[in-house]
Amino acid sequence: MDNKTLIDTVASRLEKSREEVSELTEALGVVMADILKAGDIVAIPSIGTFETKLKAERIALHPSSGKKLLVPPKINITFKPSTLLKQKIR
Amino acid sequence: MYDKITLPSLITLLSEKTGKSKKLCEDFLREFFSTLTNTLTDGENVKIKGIGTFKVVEVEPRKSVNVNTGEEMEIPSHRKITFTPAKEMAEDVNSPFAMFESVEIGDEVEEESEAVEESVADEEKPSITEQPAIKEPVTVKEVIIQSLQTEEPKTEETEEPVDAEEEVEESEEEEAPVEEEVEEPSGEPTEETSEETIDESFPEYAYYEDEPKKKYNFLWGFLCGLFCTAIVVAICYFFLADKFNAMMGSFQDKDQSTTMVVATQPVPADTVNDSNDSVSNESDSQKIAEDKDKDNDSEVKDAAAPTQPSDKEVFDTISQTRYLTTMAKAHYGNYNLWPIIYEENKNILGHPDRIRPGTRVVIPSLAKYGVDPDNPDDIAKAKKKGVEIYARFK
Repeated sequence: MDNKTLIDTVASRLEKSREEVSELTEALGVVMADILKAGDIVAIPSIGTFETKLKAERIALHPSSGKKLLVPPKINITFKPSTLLKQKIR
Repeated sequence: MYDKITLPSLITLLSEKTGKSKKLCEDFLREFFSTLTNTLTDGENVKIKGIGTFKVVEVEPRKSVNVNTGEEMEIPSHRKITFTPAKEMAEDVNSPFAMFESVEIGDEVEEESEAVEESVADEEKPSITEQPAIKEPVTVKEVIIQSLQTEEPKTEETEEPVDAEEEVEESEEEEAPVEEEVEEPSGEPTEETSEETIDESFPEYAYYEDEPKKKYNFLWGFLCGLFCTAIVVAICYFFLADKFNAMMGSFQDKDQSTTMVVATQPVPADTVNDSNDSVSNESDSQKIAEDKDKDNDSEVKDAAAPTQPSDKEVFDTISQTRYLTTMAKAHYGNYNLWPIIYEENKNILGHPDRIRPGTRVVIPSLAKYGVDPDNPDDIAKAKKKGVEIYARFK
């Protein structure tokens, strides 16, 4: 299901306009990014938690050229599904 | 930091962001996530713009061992969810590190950076060591020659350049540890950054600070090197200046001593006949000067002995930290001479170990008892007397 169909479904269920829902979805993305940027955890019941993990810099080999690369540190977003969702999906 | 933002707070944040009512936001979030779970349970992937993609992935069955019992077991095939954040969100969250790019590096990372530092250091080293090596001996020599032109220029001149060379060597030695200090931070910055980030999960400021450091690492090293050379040169000059002053001072002293010898010579005409010999043989003249001094001292004592007690008597007060012995040390230069003070004041003093603090005692001049603090026999006598004094109170 892509973004459009998701918004359509949510809009039809909420009986709201598609624009409103897409606006809210975008805002949700921004809000979540802000929270994660501050280092906080977004925990949504029955779905799971969104968390940031810091990956330390490392030296990796270039796959094709075989040269050493210094890979810079990075903050990754990880999603950990709740046990409820995990069991539902199994 | 590490706050858990749950649904209620997420609703408030969302309503603040969009300006929509909380009710609407709550409904939206509930519907949104319920459709998300529903589609995921159906095994469908969900792609949300601005957030990311949730994928349902099949996991093949695999064998494993029960950790507790050690039994072999098979994990059956199942599905799991993977989440890939949207590019915008990932970049937004990663903004503190956005300026970094993976850099291609040679085989030896640390060694390379150190080698660069060393080469910089090598370039600078000779300039540091050569400057004082060239400058100092010349100036010092000149000064020495000037100052020594009157007396014994040869012996001193040969000594001093050696000193200067030693000085240069010292400066080199001093330099070595400084250089090491410079190298240490340059080798480590990468480790430091990683440690910092682990400690404080979001040290944005730290990275803003570190980023230019990384870029201008070479420049930094160069600046550090310059700074160090400046310090080393300053230290060199400081020490040399000190030594130089000391040297000048010693020469002046010598001049004075010789002049003194010359001045005092006419008086003891029988001991030193020719003043020229005394100037040439400094050791002899010094000895003579010492002898003269002693003679003068004894003369002064002899002269002072009769006058002192009559004119002004020296008084001292016993305290908890000032005893007869400390007084003897202060006034006569030898604490063994305390019985002299005791004898002078035996009318007011009792047991020498039980003198009350606050007692005022007269300090007699040594000449009154005919005691010379430099004479070991007199000291022995004083000691004997001390034993006698103690014997009186047994």
